[in-house]
Amino acid sequence: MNIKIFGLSCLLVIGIPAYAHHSFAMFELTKDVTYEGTVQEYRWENPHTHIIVKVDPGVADSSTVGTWDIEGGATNIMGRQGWNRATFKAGDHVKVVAHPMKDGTKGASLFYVILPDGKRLYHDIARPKGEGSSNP
Amino acid sequence: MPFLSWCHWLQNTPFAAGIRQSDLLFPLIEGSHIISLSLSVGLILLFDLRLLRLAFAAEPVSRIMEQFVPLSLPGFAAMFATGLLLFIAQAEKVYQNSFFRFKLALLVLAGLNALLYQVKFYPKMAEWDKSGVVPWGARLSGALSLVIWACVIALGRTMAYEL
Repeated sequence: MNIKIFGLSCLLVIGIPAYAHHSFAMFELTKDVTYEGTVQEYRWENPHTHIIVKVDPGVADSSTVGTWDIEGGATNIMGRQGWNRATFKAGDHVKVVAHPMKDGTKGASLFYVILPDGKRLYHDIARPKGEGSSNP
Repeated sequence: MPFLSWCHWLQNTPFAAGIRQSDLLFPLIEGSHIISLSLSVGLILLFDLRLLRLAFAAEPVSRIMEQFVPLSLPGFAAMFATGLLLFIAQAEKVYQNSFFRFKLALLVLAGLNALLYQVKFYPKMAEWDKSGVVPWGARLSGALSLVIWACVIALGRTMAYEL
């Protein structure tokens, strides 16, 4: 009996890899903002991957100037979309599309990055409206 | 702030980084933290409900306690161990989290409340249990425990919402 319960518990834990650490309520999900700048820090870790991006003055959208904490998903979720610990390093140029925090703090929820060759790397299975969604 | 710099050091040890960067280890520890919580706190809450006569009213308090403690304690040990690992993995960030600090303060309060029960009401439990009437102080302790643990869980969940 106890062994059965233990086994079930183990299955439950292993069976939910694509869990979310918190909801997306704090982000303005209908807003897609482009942040183009330099990677200050790339943290490939759980519960969330973070890309710290410094946007210098002179960009098209002046409201994005500053240092932003772009929050991604867990390494497991991002790994399925093609990310890894070496995707970025400090000093890299980066173009990120993300959903900004509702309260105006300099943070945003990663949507996707546009790589130099034009290819996109997405946060998760969500795709821009009209492009549908897929899980590569 | 010496403690903050210690947390910074702790978070950057290979052990902490290893947990944080593992696809499997981190969700496994976090999931186990929640499952062991249901075992330990779940039983504590049922015991509190018995003190308030809202559950198992026909059973003596001592009988409920005898059966719950052997399950609740290992659950608590697992919850504590996994909680400690989660703290180590993100020490610097978590230490600065205001919800976490509030949660810790409430955990201390829950501990004191349990201690009070053990010292003040447990030694005479055989007596009042026979009469069928739980002393009002023990009932209050049960009610307090219900509220504190509900808040601890809510705060633990809310911690994730500070970037």
